[in-house]
Amino acid sequence: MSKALPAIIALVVAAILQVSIAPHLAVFGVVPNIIFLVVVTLAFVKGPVAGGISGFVGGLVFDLIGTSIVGPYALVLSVVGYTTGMLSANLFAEGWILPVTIVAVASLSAELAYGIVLAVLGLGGTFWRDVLTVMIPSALYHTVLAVLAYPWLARLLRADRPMRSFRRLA
Amino acid sequence: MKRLEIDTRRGAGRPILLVGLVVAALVLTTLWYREGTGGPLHSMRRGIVVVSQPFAAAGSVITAPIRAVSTWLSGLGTSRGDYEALKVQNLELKQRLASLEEAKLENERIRALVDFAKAQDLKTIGAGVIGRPTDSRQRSILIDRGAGSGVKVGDAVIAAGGLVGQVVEVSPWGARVRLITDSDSGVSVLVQRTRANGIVRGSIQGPLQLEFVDKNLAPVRGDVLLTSGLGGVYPKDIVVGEVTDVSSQQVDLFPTITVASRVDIDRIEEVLVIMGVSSTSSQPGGGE
Repeated sequence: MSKALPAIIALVVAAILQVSIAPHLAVFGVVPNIIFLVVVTLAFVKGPVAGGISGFVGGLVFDLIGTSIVGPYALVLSVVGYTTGMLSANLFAEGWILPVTIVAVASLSAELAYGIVLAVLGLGGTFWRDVLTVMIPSALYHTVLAVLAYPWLARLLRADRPMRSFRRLA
Repeated sequence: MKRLEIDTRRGAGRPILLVGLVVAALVLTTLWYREGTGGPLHSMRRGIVVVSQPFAAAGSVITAPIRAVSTWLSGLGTSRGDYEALKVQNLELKQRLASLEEAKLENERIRALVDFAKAQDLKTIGAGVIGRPTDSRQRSILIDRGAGSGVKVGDAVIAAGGLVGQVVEVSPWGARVRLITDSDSGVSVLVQRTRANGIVRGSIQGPLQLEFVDKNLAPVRGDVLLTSGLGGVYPKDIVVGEVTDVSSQQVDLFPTITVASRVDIDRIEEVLVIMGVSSTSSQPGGGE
């Protein structure tokens, strides 16, 4: 329980920020997904199990604070969290470039997968328009935020392995 | 090398967990579709509205100075960049005012807006916007009036410029409003001039789309759209928006019509919730 506590706190804080601050940080209608950033960071520093579980919980919270159906984002974020954890576990990474690159790829993958799930369920807009107006801008926005937030988040979540420098985070 | 071996074991460990999570998510989705509005997931969402309300309100207060600076900066850009466009628009407006028929329609439109609540004996209540859309795909706002003030699911929400949306979740002290710009929203409308019926749908991209309008009765740029009252979800004759673009290919069954709301939905601060319509009753549920 004590090992999971930082992750639980991070997810709760992310959910609070998602309803309070994130809506006001929207750029051209693209709202940053703080829960996603926390889940991917958790996956990267804790591995696939933590990534998958936190992805499911975070995705469920994200579904519940929205107005659409509940479940699709939990599905997408579970898979993205788990896969990101697998990648981090099998890659030897130094510095912040690789984690930030993975955030970019994970964000685009999550947005694409979510768009596909919504399209299958008959929800959402025109898929290819969404790619240009939501998915790619979201991935870019999350990448920029990851550059700013990842070092701090990773440092907080990796309490078991203290880091002296942001150069050696992953 | 040692690290790589350890990490590989850690990563390859639990595919069953992933399968379990995916199945759980699919079960939740199915449950959401099958359960009624009183089901556990719907109740959880109502609980989230209650819990998130103070945080949303706090966020709104905290970010107010940032929004003020942003509004000021965007205003500066508008005054410079759109000066010529506004001059052209001003000429167009003068021409429109010169036409007696158009003036009559405009007069009716304004009267409909100003006297709307009075004429239809609507019971309305003012509410402040305390929460904005929490993700890029869904368009909803939180307001500071809820069941305690008599607001209920299905109530229509308007602002000075026209229709804003519909209440979809209610807590004792607040409510979530699905905006007409949400991609799941649909409003039955009629074109004021031609009386053609259609459906206004939101989209993730922003502009509203008017669908299913007969080609022969297609509106032109500047035509005003009003709620038709069909379906009983929204009261009749609320302004929904103005047609900004109409295009049609010969092979198209219906023309492609873009609509702009007169309400600046991204910056809206106060709204009116229509409660207890005497002539057409509000019903809970989705769009029309």
